[in-house]
Amino acid sequence: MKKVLLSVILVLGAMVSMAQMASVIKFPQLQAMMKQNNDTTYVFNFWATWCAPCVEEFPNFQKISDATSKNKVKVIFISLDFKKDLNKSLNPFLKNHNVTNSVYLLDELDYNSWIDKVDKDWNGDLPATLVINNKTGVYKLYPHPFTLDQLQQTLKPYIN
Amino acid sequence: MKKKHFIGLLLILAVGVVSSFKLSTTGYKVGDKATDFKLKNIDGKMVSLADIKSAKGYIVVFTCNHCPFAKMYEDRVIALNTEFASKGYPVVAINPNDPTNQTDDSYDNMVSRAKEKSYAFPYLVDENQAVAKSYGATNTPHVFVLQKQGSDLVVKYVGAIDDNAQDASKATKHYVADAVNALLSGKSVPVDQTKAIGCGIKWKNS
Repeated sequence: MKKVLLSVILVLGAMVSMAQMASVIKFPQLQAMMKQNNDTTYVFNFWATWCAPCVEEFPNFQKISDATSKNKVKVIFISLDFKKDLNKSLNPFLKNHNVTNSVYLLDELDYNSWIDKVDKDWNGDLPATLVINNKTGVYKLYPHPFTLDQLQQTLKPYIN
Repeated sequence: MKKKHFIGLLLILAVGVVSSFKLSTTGYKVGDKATDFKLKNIDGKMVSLADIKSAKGYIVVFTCNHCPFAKMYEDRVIALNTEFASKGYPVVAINPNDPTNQTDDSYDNMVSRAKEKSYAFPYLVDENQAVAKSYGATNTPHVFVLQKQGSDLVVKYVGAIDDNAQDASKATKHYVADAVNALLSGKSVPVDQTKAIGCGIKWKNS
């Protein structure tokens, strides 16, 4: 019985520390997230830990996310770090930055097979940010970094 | 009458501005004629494509030192040159990045990297970024396969090297090698355009 309890505690403990870890996904899973049809505006930030301008803008997305009701605007980080760097680079980064948002590592190395399905004019450059609200028909990719001010201005219509 | 002339002139100017903007943002497409250039190599000498006289064409690779994708593809760029230079399609590498914020991409670091890895091909610096702009390169690495046709250089392939940046052994589509092999055997290039995947070119603040 004690053993069971111990393992339950261990599992729970693991789950808590898993909170800030990225899950590895394939493109269909991302597509499913992109198709959610509700009142929430989804902000997908495509980034990677090796991309300097991405790391620079990262806190802006955290700030906007913290300042906004999760029901209205939900920031989801889509990391294009390599799967082999999940525990080497990505998860340590998330821990250091106290990331509470959902973070997924998109494990799709053949970019040419999926980037057109995000936006046909996108060449996969990072960072890029996709704003979607399927209820109001919003679908726009911003293939550039954001300052906090720019991000606030861009998301203003969806927050109010 | 004068007013009409003025409006006409404005229109011409506007069209000029719009079309030059378009040119600079789209760059070369497959079938276009590419322009030769003269850029400084890592040995300090100026190099043009025309200097490589025996070539049937060129594998022009915009690449750099710092970008993780460029690093992952470095050995594959070297291998492309090893495989195809002797067959008439040498690699010509060009670093278009502004080294101001990426010191890894400075000329000195290009020289040392090329030495370290014994590059057997030119590694040129596109200091004012004019070549990258005229070709329409956006990323590193970004490949343009050119074929000599008389005095013309015809663009035959634009895009990525293959379909797996991380692991060369797992790549299933070898776009550049397939393109050059097709050209060498007088066939049409099977896939002549992909999106180049990698880091965005670091443009100078103008």
